[in-house]
Amino acid sequence: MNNPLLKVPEAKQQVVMRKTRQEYIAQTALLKRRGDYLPHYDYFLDILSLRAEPEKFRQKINRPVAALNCLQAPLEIFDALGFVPYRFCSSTVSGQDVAASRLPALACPIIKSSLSSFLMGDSIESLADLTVIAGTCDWMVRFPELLEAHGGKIHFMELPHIKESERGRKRWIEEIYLLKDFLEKESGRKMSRRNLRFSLEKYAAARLALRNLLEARSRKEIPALWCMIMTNALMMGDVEGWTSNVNKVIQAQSGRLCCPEASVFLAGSPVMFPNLKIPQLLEDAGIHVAADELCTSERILAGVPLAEDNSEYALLKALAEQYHLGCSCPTYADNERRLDNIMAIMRDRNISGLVLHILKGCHPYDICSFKMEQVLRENGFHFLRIETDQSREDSKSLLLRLEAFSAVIQ
Amino acid sequence: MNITNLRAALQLLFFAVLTYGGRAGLRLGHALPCFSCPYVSGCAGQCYLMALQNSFWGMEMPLAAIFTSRGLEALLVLTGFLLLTLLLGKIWCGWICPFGTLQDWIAALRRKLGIRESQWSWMQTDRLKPVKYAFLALLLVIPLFIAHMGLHDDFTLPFCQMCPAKPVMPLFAGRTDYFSIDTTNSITIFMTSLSMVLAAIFLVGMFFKDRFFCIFCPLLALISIFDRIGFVRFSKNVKTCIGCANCQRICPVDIRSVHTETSKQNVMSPECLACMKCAESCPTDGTLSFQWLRWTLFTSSFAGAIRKLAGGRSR
Repeated sequence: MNNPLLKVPEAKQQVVMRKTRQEYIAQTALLKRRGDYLPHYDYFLDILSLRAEPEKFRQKINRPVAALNCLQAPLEIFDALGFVPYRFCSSTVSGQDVAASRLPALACPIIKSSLSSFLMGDSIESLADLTVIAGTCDWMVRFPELLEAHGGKIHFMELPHIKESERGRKRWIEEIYLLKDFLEKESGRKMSRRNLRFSLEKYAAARLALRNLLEARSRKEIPALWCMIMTNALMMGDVEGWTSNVNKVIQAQSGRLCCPEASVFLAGSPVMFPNLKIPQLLEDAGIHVAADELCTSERILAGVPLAEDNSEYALLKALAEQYHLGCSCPTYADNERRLDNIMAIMRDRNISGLVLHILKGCHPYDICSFKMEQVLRENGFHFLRIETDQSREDSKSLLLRLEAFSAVIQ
Repeated sequence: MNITNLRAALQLLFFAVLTYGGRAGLRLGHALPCFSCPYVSGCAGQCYLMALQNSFWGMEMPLAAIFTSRGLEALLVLTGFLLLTLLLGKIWCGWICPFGTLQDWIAALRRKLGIRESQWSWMQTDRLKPVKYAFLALLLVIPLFIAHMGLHDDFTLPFCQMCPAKPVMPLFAGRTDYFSIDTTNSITIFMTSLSMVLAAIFLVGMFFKDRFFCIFCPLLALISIFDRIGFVRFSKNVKTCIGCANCQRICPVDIRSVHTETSKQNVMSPECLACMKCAESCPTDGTLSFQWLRWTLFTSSFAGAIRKLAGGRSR
């Protein structure tokens, strides 16, 4: 950290870091005590927990790491240039007050938590070699400015918010090329078509594993909470290891029904390890998340980036369009398909209710919630809107509401 | 076998049958809704466009001849064309047409070399759409001018004379003589020169742009008139489409409407070749489907799309 004004006092850092590690350790211990715990889950818990211990993470991965925020920067490009993509979004509570003095009071908790991880001495910057930020929501657009004084290697991607226009698509392909140039410069190597094709095939296996995982969850063979942990880990390390371990879990759980009767669709703000408040409360209320549209879960690797040509341009265009057009993030202005898609999935998986999780300060989902409620109710679905933060203070009242909702949807 | 390989195999088979089948005694007539070029010696059947230019309004058969035996024969050929078109519709273009197959082979060579396909703006693509109708109108109107307005006989079969298939396809039967200029008179010099220039333009175009000729094909324009009543249907479940645009990107003729359609079920556009590449590339189960009447020929699936991606090299 270059700017001494931004520096968090050493003593404070030590306290926050200790508390953050405790959050990870406590959540991991809690999960390992569950009756449905399998040793196969250790791979994912290890990957996720190492976020609090960057040095160990580095040793384990042993490759250059690129920190990123949202889903729009194609992971295959990072992989083709030798980087391990790592999602820097954070959900820890203990670090949030570090960033609070630099942000408005009602700032998104994920931004608070993520920013704090940059402000800590041994956090993200020692974990990642560079940072790539896609300008999705207003908070993320401001993020490079918040990190300005850091002096780290930050690349900002200007995300066209009207995605279906020709202009928007062309603009995004330009951004993808700029990302490629940035990564080539930082890695000191040129991207070859062969490497990119190889990465596409590697991620194709991950896409298939993710799909099978989500179907197993839909069949209630894999608890939603464990599924969330596994999908969280997809953007946090070695993709081949992730694919292989997910396939092992699916195989181990095949044919074993282990989830509550009532099923819902979970929409809204991202949920990420170690703060699993919402999926844990849903489970406590006897509700199984049979499908979701979270950017930390089902929406990762949406679609299949296919190109007819094997030219570099064709492959990059396929990736650009898949990650841009295939994403239903509510930050886009033209996002008409989102509600139709959600309802089609709900009908297909026989889900009668939707829980919309909104983190206080997460405005894009908040704004969309009114239309979502109206359309879902008009189409005969049950709808529950939960507005919360990452603290546990409102857990009891939320649980009561979820239990009532569970009774309604059953 | 996936749809790409199946299509490639059938294209090869139809190319061989239509180009060389006549040598084995196969006679499929003059009503084929595809570019099975009549100038290929030993071809098994002939493109309907030649018969169309020779029909009632043409110089060889004035309207008065409609109730003669030749007139009835022309009607029979027209009926054959209509039946074949209704039965298979655009499948003639995407799966059977030998000239379409040749274009796919040329494009495959480009892909093998890793050369990117030429990219056109949406406006350029839209502006070129009417050209095929202009060609269709010309090939109907010029014979009328010959029959009734005194246009010179050497303009007979105007489209065939310009068609890039005329000099190119006979090469597969070992004939190079259509790659020459006919110096009989100024009209033949003009028409054969035009044919050579167009063949050269289209050959280069086919290398840099998938199905370049199909964008201008008057036969496609003619077949598409019967899309609504044809047996081959192309439908979309707009509720499940995630809008990833794989269909648009993969489409050899850059059709946008399949991607952009958000309300109608029927997405068969006049430009569609029914190659089914879009359905094969669509990653959502059952979103894009091709049907023959009530029977599903092919429907999109995640498994199919991921297999195509994992397989890597698409044709």
